Order: sequence, then structure tokens, then C-alpha cells
Amino acid sequence: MIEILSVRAGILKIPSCTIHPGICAIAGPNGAGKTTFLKLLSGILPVKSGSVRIDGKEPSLCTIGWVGEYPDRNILFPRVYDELASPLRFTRQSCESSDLKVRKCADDLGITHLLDRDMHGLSGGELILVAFAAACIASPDLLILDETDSHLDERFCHQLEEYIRRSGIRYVVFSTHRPERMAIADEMIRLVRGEVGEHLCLTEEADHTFPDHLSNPWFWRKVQTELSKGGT
Amino acid sequence: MNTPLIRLTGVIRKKGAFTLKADAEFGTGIHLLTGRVGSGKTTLGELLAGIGEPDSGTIRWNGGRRVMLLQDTSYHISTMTVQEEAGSWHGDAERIIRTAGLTGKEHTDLLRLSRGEVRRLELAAILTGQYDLIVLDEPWAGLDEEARRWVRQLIDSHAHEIIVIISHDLTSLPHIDQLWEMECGRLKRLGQVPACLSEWTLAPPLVRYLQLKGVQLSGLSREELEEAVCRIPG
Repeated sequence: MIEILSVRAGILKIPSCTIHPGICAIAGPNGAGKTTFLKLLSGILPVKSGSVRIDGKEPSLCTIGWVGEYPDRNILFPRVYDELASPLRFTRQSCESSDLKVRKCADDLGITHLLDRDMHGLSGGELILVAFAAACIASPDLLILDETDSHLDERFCHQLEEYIRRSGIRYVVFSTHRPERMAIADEMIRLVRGEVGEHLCLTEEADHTFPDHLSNPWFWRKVQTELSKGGT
Repeated sequence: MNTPLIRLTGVIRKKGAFTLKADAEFGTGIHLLTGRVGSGKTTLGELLAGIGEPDSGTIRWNGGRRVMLLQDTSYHISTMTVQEEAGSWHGDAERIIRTAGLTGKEHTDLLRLSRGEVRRLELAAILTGQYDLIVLDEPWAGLDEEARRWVRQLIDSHAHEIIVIISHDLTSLPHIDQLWEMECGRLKRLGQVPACLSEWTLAPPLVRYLQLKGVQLSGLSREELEEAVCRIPG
């Protein structure tokens, strides 16, 4: 469980909030505190009052993966292979072990052909995949995706979602402005002016009395389920 | 003045192993260009806007050719304050600021604005300006629902120009006249909306779902999608 208690940080004012293992979507208007919330979970933003615990540990003691909207702004190394290996090298893993992990991770995401490429010159989509791989390679306790979907197409998002499900990462928290992306989440938190305005659990069997509406996560869940049944 | 029209004939643009090929005609109205990540949409936008040149083929214009391209906003700031930035567009600065909803923030440092506010300022400058072609590459990125509605309304007020919207975000659109798809560097015209929607092979889930439910779409705008969702039987 990720437990937030009596937190005040920046615009955020959260008396109590619990996130369960699985995938959690963060929604809310511009300026509502979505990125601040993600920074809080990741330990980038230390809390001045209150506490944040990930399975009882402080975020700064956990392994966190982060992918933002513009991953090219956070690149450290010129070659794809080195960028992928960097989280492992920074924790002093052996060359053999990190090489195995880099190749396995690249294979899982279908980017083996990019390993020897220059980071500079990758297409936007390739860059996201590489950043995503670098965030996942150290098996983070928590993976954060901050509006990573804003330049991605539907199939691409779907590919990432499949990978997330298979990866076994315990907590995935993502922020988005696209209502259709809610379909993948197990729970959803809507922030309003720094406070939790709505916190929905989306894992229970869908209650079909809800209205069909584009801002309703249940509606997107139904779209996804029925389309996959139809084999499309 | 003639109504603007751009004609691309045998256009080829190469970037490494990637080749873009386009034969097309863009007339007045709102065009939506979709396609997978890396399929060449942004490259086409740059060719239309004249930032890039084709390696072969021609791009011909009828009528005026005042062009504006929106890409990633945060790289576009060229001044210090909201007032200076609005003034730098050679338009009606006061109208730009008012349209962007930034009245009262004229002297605010641009770096103190939220990303959404910077984007609104730029979109307001572009969409209140006098252009024949406006290319908007992912105009909704980073914007919330209310700002998305604002962008839609702003675009909808344009009828006499060529507007090309490049986007993956298919639940935020304004009224769309023509649908285009880029597939591995090949530009395909799918046709007039809504007639072409039934033949849209790479249609997004919502459009496929509505087809599955036998609901006819009258268009791709957010309002039209919402209206269609209300007509889902059962």
C-alpha cells in the first residue's frame, strides 16, 4: 500500500489517501497538483508535514522509475545501450548481470535493434520506448508516467500497457488528460485544487447502471472489454 | 484574393531510412491528420509550413501563403513577459491576451506561467492572426478538459483558411471536414467526414465501438462523439 497521511506540500492538501498495488490514474485540470502529487510519491519532493510511505518505506528508500512527457530532456548518455544500462550501473551491478537485463528489457519492448543507435536521431516514439525501458529496467517499486501519453497513438499506448501488466511492477501511477486512458487503471484519483476530489476503485465488476459518457472511466472500460471480445 | 489551396505533387522527403511520399491537395477547411507515432506526420507538417523542403516533387500554392505552424510550445517563447510575447506576433496584442484569458497577467514573467497558460497564449496568437494555412501539431498536449474545449471553439471559428490538425487525441477534436492518414511515410486521403468513417481501418477504439453498436457518427468533434455515445442502444 502507498499511504499518504496529513500531507501539505506545494498546492497539495491531503489528509489521507491510500493507493493499492496495481495501476492508478491521476486526473485533474491544469494546476490541480498532478505533477506535484507524482513528485511527492517519488520522493523528489520531500514532505514538510505529514508522511508518504510505500509499503512502509520512505519513497527515497525505494526504487522509482519516472517517464515524463518529454523524455529527451532527461537523457544522460549518447548511446541507447548506455542509457538503458545506466540505472543498473549506478547501483554497481556487474557487467554480466546488467548486460543480460539490458538485452532482456530491450527484447521485451521490441527495441533490440536500437541498442547501438545514438539517442540523438531517434523518433519521438522510439525515444519514449527507450525512456520507458530505462525507467523499468531496475525493477522499480513504483513506476511513474507523467503525461507520457500526450504524444502517443492508441496502439502505442496499448503496447506499453501490455508491457506494464507483464512487468510485475508493484505500483504504476500515471497522470493523463485523455479520458480513454483511464480504462487501464485499477483505481483513479481526481485532484481538484490540490485536494483529492474523487477516488474511484475500478477493479470491481462494472456496475452497468452508470451513464455512458466520455468522462466516465467505466465507459472506456466497457469499450475496451467489448472490443477485445469482438477480436478487434 | 483566391481561396487558398496547396497542391503536393510527387513529394518525396527522406530522413535516414525513412521516406515520406505525398500527393495531395489541401483546400480550405479543417483537416485531421492521424497515423502512428513515427509515421511522418510532423515531417509533413513541416513541409506544408515550409520549414522543410521536399527532396523531389513540388508544393504549389493558390491564393495567399501566410503560414503558421504550432509545435512544442515551450521552445517558442522569445520574450520576457506576456505583454511582450503577445506584441511579438504583429497582431492585436490586447486581443491575444484577452483570448488567452491572461488579462491582468500582462506583466507576468513567461517562465512563471503554467505550461497550459503558455500554450493558450501561443494558440490565441496563432488563431487570432491572419494566416492562410495553420498547422497545429498536437495542440491539446498538456491541456486539461476546459482548455481543450477552448481550443476547439477557437478552431471552429475559422472557416476561410486551411487548418491542418495533427493529433492522436481523438476525443478533443473540433468539427473536422477532411480525414487523412499517414502510414509508414505514405499520405492517404480517407475523405470527407463523416462519409469516410466507415472505411477508416485504423479507427480509434471509440469509433470502432460505435460502429460495433450500429451507431452512425455525424462527425468527429467532441460534441458529435458525445451525442453518438448517448445513442448507444441498451
